[in-house]
This record gives sequence, structure tokens and C-alpha cells, in this order.
Amino acid sequence: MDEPSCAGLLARFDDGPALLAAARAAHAAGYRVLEGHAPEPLPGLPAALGVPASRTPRLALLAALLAAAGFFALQVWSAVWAYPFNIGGRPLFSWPAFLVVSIDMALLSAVLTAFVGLLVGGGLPRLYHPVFNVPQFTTGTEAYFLYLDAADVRFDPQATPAWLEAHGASEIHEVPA
Amino acid sequence: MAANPAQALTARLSADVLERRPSPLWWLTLVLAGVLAAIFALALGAIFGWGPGWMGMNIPVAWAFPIVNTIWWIGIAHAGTFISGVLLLTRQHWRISVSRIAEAMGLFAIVLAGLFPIVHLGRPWFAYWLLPYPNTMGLWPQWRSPLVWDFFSIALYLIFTLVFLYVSLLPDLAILRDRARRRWQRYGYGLLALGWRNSARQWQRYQQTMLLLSALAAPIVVAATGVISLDLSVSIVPGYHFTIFPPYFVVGALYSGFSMVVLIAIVLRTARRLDALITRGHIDRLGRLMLLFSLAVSYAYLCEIFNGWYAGEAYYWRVYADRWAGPYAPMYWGMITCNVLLPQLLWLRGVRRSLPLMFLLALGAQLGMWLERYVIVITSTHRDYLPSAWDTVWPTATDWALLFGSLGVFIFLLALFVRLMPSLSIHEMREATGPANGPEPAGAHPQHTAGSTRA
Repeated sequence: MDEPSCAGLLARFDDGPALLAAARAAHAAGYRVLEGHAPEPLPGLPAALGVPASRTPRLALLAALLAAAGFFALQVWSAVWAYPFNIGGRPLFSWPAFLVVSIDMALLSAVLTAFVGLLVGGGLPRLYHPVFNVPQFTTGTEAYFLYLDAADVRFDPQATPAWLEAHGASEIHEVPA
Repeated sequence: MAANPAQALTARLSADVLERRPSPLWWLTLVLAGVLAAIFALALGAIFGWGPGWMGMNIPVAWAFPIVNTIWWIGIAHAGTFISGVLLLTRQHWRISVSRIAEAMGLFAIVLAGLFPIVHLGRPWFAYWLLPYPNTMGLWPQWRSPLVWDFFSIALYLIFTLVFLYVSLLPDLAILRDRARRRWQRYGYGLLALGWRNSARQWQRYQQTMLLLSALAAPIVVAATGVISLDLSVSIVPGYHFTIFPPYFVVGALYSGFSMVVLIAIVLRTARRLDALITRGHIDRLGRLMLLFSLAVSYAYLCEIFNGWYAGEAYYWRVYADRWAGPYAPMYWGMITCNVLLPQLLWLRGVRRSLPLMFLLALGAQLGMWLERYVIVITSTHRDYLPSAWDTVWPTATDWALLFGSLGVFIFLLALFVRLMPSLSIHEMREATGPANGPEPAGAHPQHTAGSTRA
């Protein structure tokens, strides 16, 4: 088997439907290390590429519940045991007052989990990526790209470009390794 | 017109940031706002260096102008969250044209709102004692106090606004990185864009995150202003002690927030010639929302008066008699004029679509909401249960310097923002015009961008 001289192939398509069809065909043909690039979220593209559904909402809910429980426990412990303080004879375990900060912290944890979910799931921050080496690659115009990685078992330096061309790619660029 | 309207839009909006030279008007705004910001810094220096005696607050009115300013600023912040969160969830397409400036406005307003309680503290250098952390003093925050709740709510709001604005900017930062010609722009926007590549995975996570954040926006809005209102309503002072306060403060906040969006949208539209993107239709919709919240605020005023009368207590009723005819009566009637009477003009379609009239009404709403906070915070304690302690307080030069100085900081930051960042969301705009969106052919439905009613 010959060593691939490039990191992968970047194929340009004229519009969203063309990219979507090519992505479906590529996945059906057995390509697994691949990525689609579109100037806007294309409905169906993640599914076509075999991107799994995000677990962020469930994780955010979990983080919110944990934060609420944790902060409620912290408030009870500090107000009843660590730093008991008698204010006008009110009970030390005045739990309704502890709900406000618990809810605030639950919301904050959900917000931060959503943000971290975007970074981790989207592979960010990653300032360098091989596709940036292709001068034609840009997010600044209406450009639709399908990227097939050379690490894919189905990738073949000769057959893959021909396959892409047959599936409607208007330009095919080698991505320097 | 270019063959592809989405392409032309992207080019136009990014060139506004990357290529256009700042106009003399922009420089003038920046310099004037910078002078005000410097005055703000001086006033802060005086208060932190010598003490809060520079401000007009005095016993019995221990809560005065910094608190008025906090509640006012936090109200302005709310429209940003409302527009980007609730209107995104309800799929109101017209919000795209104003969401970015509303979010930026929200962020800068909340920074100022968070600053004023620290100004108000007698010993601001102990502000960090509000944080729960193990310390050698064995001290913990007083969790039963609304002031502690406040700290957490404002901190939550600040972090939320920052995250929301940044996430919605990410794809735009990548566009700017890829279209930039100058080296500092490529590096600067490139670092901020974190390597965004428009990949399907990234878009999937982006949509998910935006949806989650929007769903969280509504409870966070209520948490912020609602909790601030508890500072007042948990006490037993006549004029403060009303259960209606949390919703009353939230609708008031939205009223002032939407009017601030109107002000900024009109200025931006005129200065940047964005008539096609921010249309009279958008201003019309914002006007309707202003009217809605003005009516809600008017209802709250009536409810408060009814409560004062129905409580059957002399001190409660006295607060109203004093508001109507006492030393602060001009503020009260000014508030009624700006928040109840003038907004009735918004019933007229012609008024809602007239830029000068909307500008004046929005300015009036800002004034009215500041006066409302002034009336609530100050007229309640100045006639408390102890008649021998009754007194009046008035703002000093430092108080005015703080108020107008904070406006300067706000305008300064906004001016920098509209210079360095796209003031309309490029990716959302092009998604709305793009050929991949919806069954209609490209160019056949400009109404998504331009609002369903053309100017």
C-alpha cells in the first residue's frame, strides 16, 4: 500500500443539496472519516455524515441538578453548622431562602455546560487544521465543501478523486499534509 | 446586484468592519463618550479613595442613586436577552436585524449594572466577601439576605450574556478571519474564532448550544431583575414592601430595554445606511413591544396604588400622597408622562413608523424608567415609619457624574463594538437570504431579511 501524500481531499460543491447528496453517497460508500462544510447549518448534513446526536442537553441538565444540590447543601451546612447566625430569631434552616442561589447556580452550570459542549463537540479551539492550507477553503463566501480524510480505510489517492468528480464536485483540492 | 444575494450581503457586512474607514461622526462619538468615561473614572476614584460621602445619599435614604442606576442599567440589559433568547425560540425572523446590537448592548449594560452596587458599598474593597469560599475568618455569606442573591444573579447574568454574545459571534469571526486582508485582522479574528471551520459538527453543536442558551434566557431574565426587586420588597418599608415587585420590575426592565434597542437601531441605521436591513417594519415591531410593556407597567402602577389604599395603613397611603404632592412629585409625574401617557401614541401606526418620533419616545422611555427607579428607591425611605427621621436627599455633582459617566462608558464600548465586530449577524442574515434555505428560490423572498413589511 502506498503512503498517502496528502492529508485528504477537499471537494467543492455548487450548493447545499449537492453537498448533502454527495455526503450521503460518501457515507453509503463506506467513508467514515469525513466532514462537510457549509456556510449555514444544513438540515440533515450531520445525519448524512454519521455525526452522532449531541449529549449536551442531557449533560447540561445533569450539571444544573448537581449544582443546585451542591449549592443547597453548601448553604445549609454553612448557615446551620459552620456559621450559625441568629437574625431576629429566624430558623437557621430557612430553606426557602436558600433556593434562590441554588437556582442561579443551576442556570449558570447549564450555561457553562452548553458552552463547553460547543467547544468539545465542535473540536474547538483548534487554530490549525489541514484544510486551512487549501487557499480556496473559506468560510467567507457561499462555499460548500466535502472533506475526505486520507486516514479513512476507503480512501484511495486515485479512485477517490474520480468518485468525487462522479458525484458532482465542481473543484477537487488536495489538502497538504 | 450580485447574482447571489447572500454573497453580496456577506461582502457588504464584512467590508463594513474590515475595510470601511471610520467616519468623522464615529470619531466624534468616541471622543465625547471617552471624555464622559474619564469623568466616570474620576468620580469612581473619588468615591473609592475618600468614601461614599461624595454621593447625595444620606440617612434615612441609605439606598439612593447607585441603586437607581443599577436597576436602570439592568433593565436596559434585558432586551438583549429577550430579543436573542425568547424571540429566537419563538422563531421571530425579524429579530435577526437587531439581535446582535441588542446582545452587545446587554453585555455592556450588565457590566455597568454590576459596578454600581460596588460603588454603593461603604467599603468596596470587601466586595469579594460575597463569594462563598473557605477563609481564615470562618466567615460565610448571609444566604438569607437578598443582597447575596443579587450578587449571584448579576454574576449569572453577566456570564450568560458574555457566553451568548460570544457563541453567536463565532461563525462571524471566522468569516472576518477568512475575508480579512490585513495581518492584524487575520490574527486577531483568527484567534477569537478559535479555528471555526463551518463544519457540520460545529454547526450541529452551535445550533444545539444556541437553542439551550435561548431556553435558559427566560429564567435568567426573571432571575436577574426579579431578584433585584426582592432587595426592596423583602424589607418592611412602605413603598418597598409589595409582592408585585418581581413581575413589575421585569416588565419595566423590558420596556426600557426595548426602547434602548430602538435608540441604537435608529442611530446605527442612519449612520451606517442600513435602511434595507433595519427597516421601518423593525422599528414598528419594537414600538409594539414598547407599547405592550408600557401597558404592563401602567397596570403595575395602578396595582401599587390599589395596594397602598387597600392595606389600610396610614404610612402606606402616606407614601402615595407624598409621591403625588411631596418634594419628589415632579419625578413622579415625569415618570407617568414618559411611561404611561406618551407611549399611548404608539397605538398609531404612523408614529411607530416615524423614526424621529420613535427616537423621542424611546428617549422619553429611558428618562421615564430612570425616574421610576428614582421614585421607588428614594421616596419610600424618605418618609419611613419614623417621622422624626424624615428627610430628603438630592443627587450631588458626583451622582450626576456617575450617571452620565456610565452612559459615556456604555456609548464608548458600543462605538468600539460596532467598529470591530459585525453589528448585524452575518451568518444569520445570509442563512435567511441563502439559496439553501427553504423551498423558495433565492432572491424571491427578501422579506426574511428586510422584515415582512417594507419601508
